[in-house]
Amino acid sequence: MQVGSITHKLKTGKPVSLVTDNGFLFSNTSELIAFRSDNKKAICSIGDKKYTAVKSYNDMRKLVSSLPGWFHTASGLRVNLNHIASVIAKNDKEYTLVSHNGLKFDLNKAFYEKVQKYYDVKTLQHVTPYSLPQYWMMKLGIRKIEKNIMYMKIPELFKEFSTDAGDTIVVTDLIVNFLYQQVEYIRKSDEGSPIAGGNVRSLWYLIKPTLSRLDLLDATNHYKTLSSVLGKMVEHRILSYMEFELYEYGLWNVGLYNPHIIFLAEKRSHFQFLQQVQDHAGVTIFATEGQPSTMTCEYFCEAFKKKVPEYWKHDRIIIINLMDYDPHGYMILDTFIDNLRVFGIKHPTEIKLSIPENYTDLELEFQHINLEKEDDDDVGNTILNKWMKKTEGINGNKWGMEVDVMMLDRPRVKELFLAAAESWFKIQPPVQRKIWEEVYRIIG
Amino acid sequence: MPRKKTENLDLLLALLMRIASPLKSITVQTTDEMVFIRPEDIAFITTDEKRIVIHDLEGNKWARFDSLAAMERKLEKDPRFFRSHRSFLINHFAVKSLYKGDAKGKVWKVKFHGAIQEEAMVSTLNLQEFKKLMELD
Repeated sequence: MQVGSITHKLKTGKPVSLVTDNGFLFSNTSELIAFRSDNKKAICSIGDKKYTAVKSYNDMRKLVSSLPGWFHTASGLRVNLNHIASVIAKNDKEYTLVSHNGLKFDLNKAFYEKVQKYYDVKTLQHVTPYSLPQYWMMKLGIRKIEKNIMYMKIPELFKEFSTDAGDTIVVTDLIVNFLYQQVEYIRKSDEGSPIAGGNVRSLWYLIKPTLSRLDLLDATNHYKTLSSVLGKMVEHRILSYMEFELYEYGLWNVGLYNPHIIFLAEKRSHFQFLQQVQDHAGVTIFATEGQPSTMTCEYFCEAFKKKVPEYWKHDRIIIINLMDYDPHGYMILDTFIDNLRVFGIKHPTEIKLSIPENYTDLELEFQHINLEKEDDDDVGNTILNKWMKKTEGINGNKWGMEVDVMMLDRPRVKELFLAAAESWFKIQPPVQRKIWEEVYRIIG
Repeated sequence: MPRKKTENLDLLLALLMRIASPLKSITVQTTDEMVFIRPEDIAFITTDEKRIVIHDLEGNKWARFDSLAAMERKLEKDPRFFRSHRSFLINHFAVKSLYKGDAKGKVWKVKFHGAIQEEAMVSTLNLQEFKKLMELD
């Protein structure tokens, strides 16, 4: 039985007499939130008022020593935990106890263990179990900030976002909290996102004037800071691009008949071919246009999961891809698969079409790229060697193939695709409805 | 002990139980705080994707990364909690009314005292037991 809770609810406890301006106030220990020592006197907090107890601090300490819920939390401070609503971990040594009416009291490391035991929790740092997004929110320093950051005055911004010395603004801290504040406003609003239909730049334009007031627009490109921080927050599932209702123009379409098969291309110029294959086989299509953006992947995955809601139970996800046969192509594919995992599509089977076996000897001999001689800053020797270890290049040479060579013979690529997908089709092609033919007929 | 005295003690215990739960507070995480919620202040708990949502008697909602089954185990020694439905664990001390949620009586719903707008569901499978708890049977 939680006796402390019962006395707290019934407002009963040991009597305490308090000194007022013109007499005495008679209360009891259950109404007291805390008392602290001041020149041997006990200064008691009741509601939002403070009174001096008739008894000394030492006598008050003895009075509450056997009462459930009363704890020594810092030097010269006793707190009634029945009045405590929450705890804030400032770091792993210092904590703040917050009462139901918002009063704050220190909890020092020396007294931590008893309080932790009282609440019967593994730690007061965070709730266990807790989700990865919660972990990342704490790691990124996301906190509840009452005032709209865009309308904070400069001293307020320095107070909230500066370094310990107080002279420099930590821009990432400001931007992370700005983004979280914005998404919280959207979540609570019935109106939707104020930047619906915009893009990441729209968010940038909201915070840019604040950074300008802080004279922070000269040195670093903070648009990049914002888009990278936003990407990180999305990746850690703290928020999503969709919540901001940003415009997304990705080249993808979820198939009607065989949506679990994704036909992936690296280049925009191949999208029309993907559309033709989709009309024939009803598969999902996606052109990454180089490194796929996290935003595009999020929108794609949400649409995909709606179409194939329980794929992990019934369908294997198959990615048949048309990537360049080189380290770059492999990296793009890895990023795409990583992004799918972030947004909840896991363990796909991937089948590469652009591999030496699918090229003719003539193509391999005359159309290969010597990767050692290629001037590519992104691909150093280490990456190239790793790729060679995985693939053996072409006949052991550090050579690659641009997928465009294969795409010169589209019927062959289509045939390769159909052969690779054959055992995975749920509905055999040709499928009935040809979406792109319909679209192009309408738009002429 | 004479029977009358035992009965009185049982009654006293039941009354005390109404006032406060015998269990420790439930913790929930907000952006920068760990919040303590007394079990007697909870109206009901429901699920939302991979989280549970605790609705307190003041109408606040608190998310916790946990399962309803784990929460049910945690609260099983508190007689106020009842698993009314696959997706609901309710504090039946806080229930104000029970009513048919559809014409056929396949879905039953409860409303709560306090500032709570939301309703909780009672499955037909658990309806009989719930009626017993509420002394309707």
